[in-house]
Amino acid sequence: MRRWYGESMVLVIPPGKKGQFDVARKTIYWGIAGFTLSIVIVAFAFIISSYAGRLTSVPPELTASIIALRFTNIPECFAYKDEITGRVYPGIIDLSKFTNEQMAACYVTDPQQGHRQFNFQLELGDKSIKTNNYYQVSHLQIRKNVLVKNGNAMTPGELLIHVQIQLPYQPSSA
Amino acid sequence: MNTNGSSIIMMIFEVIVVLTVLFTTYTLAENYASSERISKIHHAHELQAMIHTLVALPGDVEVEYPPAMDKYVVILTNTEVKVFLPQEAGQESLKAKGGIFLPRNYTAVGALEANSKRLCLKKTGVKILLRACPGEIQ
Repeated sequence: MRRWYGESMVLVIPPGKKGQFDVARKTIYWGIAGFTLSIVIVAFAFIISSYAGRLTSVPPELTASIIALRFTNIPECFAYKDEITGRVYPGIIDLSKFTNEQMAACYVTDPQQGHRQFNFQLELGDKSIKTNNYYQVSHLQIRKNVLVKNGNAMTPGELLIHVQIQLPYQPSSA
Repeated sequence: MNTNGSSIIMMIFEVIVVLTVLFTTYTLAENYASSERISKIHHAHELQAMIHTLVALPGDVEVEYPPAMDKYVVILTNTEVKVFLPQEAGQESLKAKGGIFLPRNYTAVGALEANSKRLCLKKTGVKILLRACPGEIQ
């Protein structure tokens, strides 16, 4: 309600309307406060979640090294196994096994979501093989001195393992 | 309009909002950063590493996981190891998980119930078994 009092115009709240004015004013206040509090809570959750993630993170080099142990140690991967005695020779690579088919039997990740996991490319001499979700993104390398069994010949060599730690999305082509 | 009545309603509303904010913040902090949650994740990661190491060993082997596990339930499958408290059995989001990548033909299986203090992992051929250690008194 507007009333003139001399030269200036003032807003006069009639008696009995103060409660409505308070409610309207506080509604605006709580609208702004609610929005701000929501942002603060979301930010807080994000910070706490990040903190917990940092507390529990495992160095990717460690995980990659542990997984990569199998490549040279077990016959289901590339380790040489004497078929007569059944003895497995860890550290000796059977070159006849060094194929992508054997790699698929040794280590495989989910076709759809496997790019979020560890993937590997192995290089031995001029031969190169890789896991099913390796997209040529080498985050780190592991080198291992091995013996290479090619037929009856045994020669020293170096196995170079490229590790693709994690890709946030699947590239369109390998 | 009754001024006193609206003030009381507003005050109650304010108190409820403040309590809700406090409760939400506390719950978030408790869920995300409690030592229990961190411990579960550590156990899952350690078991995951142990299983990958067992996979890489030619021959048979049995190892004991050193920490006491009497508070937790542990389940091992071909694709993951899960660690959780007994009361979290129906809540998938609260379980700590570690992904397992086995060679073809390998199988991983086993479970540890709560109140079993010692956890053992046994590799026999291409089978990995998670269980309470032999001689364990339940």
